[in-house]
Amino acid sequence: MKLVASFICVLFSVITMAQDSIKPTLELGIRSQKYTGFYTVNGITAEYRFVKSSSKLPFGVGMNMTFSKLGSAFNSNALSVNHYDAFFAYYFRSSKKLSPTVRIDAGYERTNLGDYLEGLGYHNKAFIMGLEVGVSYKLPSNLRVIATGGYNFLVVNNAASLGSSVYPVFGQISLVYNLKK
Amino acid sequence: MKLFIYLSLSICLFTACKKSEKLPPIDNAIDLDGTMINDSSLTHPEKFLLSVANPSPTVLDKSKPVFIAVHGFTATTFEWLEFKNFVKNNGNALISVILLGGHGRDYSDFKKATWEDWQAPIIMEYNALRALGYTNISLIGSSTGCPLLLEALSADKLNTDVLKNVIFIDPIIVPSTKILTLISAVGPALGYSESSMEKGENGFWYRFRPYQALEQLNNITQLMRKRLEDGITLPKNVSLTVYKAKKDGAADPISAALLYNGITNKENLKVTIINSELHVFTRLKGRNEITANDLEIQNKVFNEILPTL
Repeated sequence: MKLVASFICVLFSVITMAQDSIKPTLELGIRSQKYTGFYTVNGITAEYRFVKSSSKLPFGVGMNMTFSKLGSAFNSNALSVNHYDAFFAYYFRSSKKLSPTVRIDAGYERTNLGDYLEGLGYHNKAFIMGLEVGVSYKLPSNLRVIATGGYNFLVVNNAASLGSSVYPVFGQISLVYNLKK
Repeated sequence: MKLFIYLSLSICLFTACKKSEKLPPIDNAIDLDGTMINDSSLTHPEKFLLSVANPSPTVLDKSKPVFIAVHGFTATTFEWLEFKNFVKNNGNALISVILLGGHGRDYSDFKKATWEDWQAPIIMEYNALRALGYTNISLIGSSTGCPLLLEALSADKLNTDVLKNVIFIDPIIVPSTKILTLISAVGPALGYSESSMEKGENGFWYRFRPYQALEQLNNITQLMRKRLEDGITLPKNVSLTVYKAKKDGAADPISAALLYNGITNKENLKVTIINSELHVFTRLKGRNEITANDLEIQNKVFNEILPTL
């Protein structure tokens, strides 16, 4: 719980600091995340990045919502996994076309075990914190692609969980469009 | 210059990884991994395999229910010893206990074997019993034995006309240690891993796990996860019963959910969650501590399995 509070505080500080003198720019896009050896979850991503004059600050905050129903569980017997997280991103060489990035994610994952096992009282929910490292690359037409590899270093399952479907290592690729450029 | 440094570092790292193929400190006197201790079924197959014990069954024998019991990763026939004795003492059934390929021998055999090698003796014994005329065969697997059985069923490797029931005890579809999916990347640097073993288990399980064997475990579990995603339909005459411990340090209990979702004909499927924290709760022999609850669960499940035939 302390970790969540700290994470929210950092996000709030960055946003407040940014709002004083900096104009945020919103990016929206799609995200595809693959756990190594397990499911692919696809969905949407949104990120606020902070701009001052013509130069970009190297921070961004955002959120991801991804679902296995749009990935591995689409038209298959895979479990339905809903993943929601907020992230804080730092960009190195942020004014360049290609910029390395580090992200810290904190989120929640809900796995639907099916009527039978949920009827027995098992409900898989997990709080997750992860770290991502990768690159961001500016494309023409206000587009940007972000590719990272990540590791969920903290997975806390609820007491009524039947094991855990959260795999620690994942890779993701996102394509975002800048709405306020 | 930078490029040269990166390249040199990469080459050093790569060669360091290649050279770390070290041998574990096996104690030949007490470790199954060594060259002195082997599983008893290798020297006395007639005490374990029904096809060897009774190559000329009578008409009555052929009509009796037969279990083919399959153990898990690194284990031996010891894992099914208690059930073997239970069947002999409590029912009219017969039992054949399989030793998986590459198991019960030594470290180098384990290192070389693929999951197909592990599976081969199951198919051989099933085919041998079917050829001898047995008409009521059931397969019972624990841990890694379960994906091996499921793979054989889903790939039509068994003629299922005489197969009645399939029973899974703590099937491993998702390992509790999910970092196993990285074994191909980190394995060459790791070489092997050592498992913590209780005193009574020594000599009946491999103590050291070469990364090649862990890779095979990853391959078979990953293959079965994919097949379950695509959906597995059991033969009409075959029922599947899954028993899964609620907490398990080896086979993640979510495995039960993947099986439940992945088997398409639910009318042939029964999944029971067991209030236990033991991996393969049906095997109590060799454990340091056995509670009254453990004994009760073992007895309850054994009694549930036997009348299903």
